[in-house]
Amino acid sequence: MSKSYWLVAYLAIAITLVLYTQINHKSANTSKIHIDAQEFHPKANANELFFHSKFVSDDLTKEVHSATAAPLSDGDLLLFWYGGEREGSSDVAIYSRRLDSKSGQWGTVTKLVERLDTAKNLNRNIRKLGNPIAFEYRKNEIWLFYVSVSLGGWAGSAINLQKSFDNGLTWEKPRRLISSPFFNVSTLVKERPIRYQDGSVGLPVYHEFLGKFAELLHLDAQGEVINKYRISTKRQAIQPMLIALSDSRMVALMRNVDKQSTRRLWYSETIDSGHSWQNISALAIPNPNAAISAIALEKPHILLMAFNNHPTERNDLTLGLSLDAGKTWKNLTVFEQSTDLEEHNPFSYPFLVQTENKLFHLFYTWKRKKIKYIVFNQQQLVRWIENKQLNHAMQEAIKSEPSFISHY
Amino acid sequence: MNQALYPIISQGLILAALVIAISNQLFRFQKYHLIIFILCLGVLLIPVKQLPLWFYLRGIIGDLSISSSIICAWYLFIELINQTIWRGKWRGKWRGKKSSEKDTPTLAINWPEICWVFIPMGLFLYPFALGLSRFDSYTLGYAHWSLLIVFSAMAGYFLWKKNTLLSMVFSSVLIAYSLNLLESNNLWDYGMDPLLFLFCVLLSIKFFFYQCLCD
Repeated sequence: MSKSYWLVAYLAIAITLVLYTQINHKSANTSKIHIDAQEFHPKANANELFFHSKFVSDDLTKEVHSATAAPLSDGDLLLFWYGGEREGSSDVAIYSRRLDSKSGQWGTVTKLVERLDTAKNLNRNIRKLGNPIAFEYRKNEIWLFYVSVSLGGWAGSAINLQKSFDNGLTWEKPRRLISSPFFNVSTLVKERPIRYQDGSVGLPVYHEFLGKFAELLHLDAQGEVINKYRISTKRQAIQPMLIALSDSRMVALMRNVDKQSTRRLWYSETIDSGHSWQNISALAIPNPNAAISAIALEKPHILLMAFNNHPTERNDLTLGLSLDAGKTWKNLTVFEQSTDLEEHNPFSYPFLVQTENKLFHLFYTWKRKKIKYIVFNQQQLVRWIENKQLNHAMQEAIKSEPSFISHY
Repeated sequence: MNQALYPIISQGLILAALVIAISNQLFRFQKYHLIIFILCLGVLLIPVKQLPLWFYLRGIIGDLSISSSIICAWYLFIELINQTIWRGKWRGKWRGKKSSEKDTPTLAINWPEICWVFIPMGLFLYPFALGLSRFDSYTLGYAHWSLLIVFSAMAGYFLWKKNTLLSMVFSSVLIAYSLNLLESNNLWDYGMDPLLFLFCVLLSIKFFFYQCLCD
């Protein structure tokens, strides 16, 4: 031992440093969820109905996929998607386009993220880029998460975070989020994050390597991973869509990838801000191994969801309403319906968002060739609700408190 | 050394260690270890399709843990010292002073002990982290006291057992984690990586078969 004084000193330094950093460490305690629900005025007036649809991607690329949009404080909407020769090809880039709230016009398409630039910025080879997801962290500060792959298929994915501090005009260099000990592979993102009241962020992610399961990454205000919580296990559920019901309660709706089960949407709940989750259960509505997108209205237990209403094919796109925090759903309207059996999954990856001007915006992949955009107002939504004779149930739901959320 | 510099150093260490280990087994190139080491570092900087070669290696194997880097560095140190300095002109001076065998430091790596440490760690980490159950052992690495205490205790234990390498490995892991030397905030990524785990598994299989053959 006498010859090991330097090693003893080295260990003493190590333990001192650990103690120092741990004492100063801000631990990831249970934090309350921030709720972003918009006001909802349930009155329909035929003169004020508004519904409009158009294609918002250009023809620069042969294929496009996975649209996502971030509503900004100034009222604008920033849209992202990826496009290239085909999904997974090396020329895939992430494109962006801004909807000006004042003029109501879409700006020009910008190529925001390229494979080679990403490789140079991350100091590693990147083979392909994938799903983007963006949100406004605070005024003028936008966080863009996107998937990149260095080796293999989507199972080799990692998530990158790129920030803008000038409302999306310029972007900082990306950096990787480390979320797995196994070569940091197999973490993907598809759905929007939730914010906690302490400034931290919950990013719903999923894995596609040995297991196919959903998780919640807990990021601090700088975007560093400080913890993660498992939502599902095995090879059943991916792409968790989180909806905050209160400052501690959330539901997760998930894509069904379980080939053994009946194709139905997966559901789970948490009552401790996402730290622990109930075992997943299958809802009554179908899910053809497809992404969904949902939002909460002013009363957060009233949800809207865009989904494929078929157990095996993505041949339709339907808008559904839930008055009980996502447990049961009623179909309101069908946006797309294809009878062409030759077409493979023509309508997919919906992304639904509501802006402060009380408009609902829906983006989705249209036959892999274009990003289609549908916008409608609250009056239009109420008209659909009335058409389905759900207005009385809706009024009752608005008056009620979400006491039906199960405790466990 | 920071987050930008560490990856290329660790890639260089593992490539050099691998090439020297293979050359030891196949070609008996002991005289040229220093040259091989320098060549390995140089090769990583060669640009291929607009990116240096180490970008591709990093894309495949990711970032090495501190443990792997130190074990690689230790191995290379022994090889370079043994083959170029110890047996070169410096050895004569040491030999003139005292018996050379006594003066040669005992730097040999105790591979079985390394396997005994990192295989159980890997078995505890990877299956649960890859979705075996609702429990995720990887989350223990996010500033969790339990794993910090385990790593500190292991550093102390190997110090007591006079295993200089493993004691230094675990102490360095704690220091690197405190200084946030890697991209990751998770202590597991400092102490363990899949390559180290796979290497230990293969090595223990080799030990097992050698023992069977000897018996």
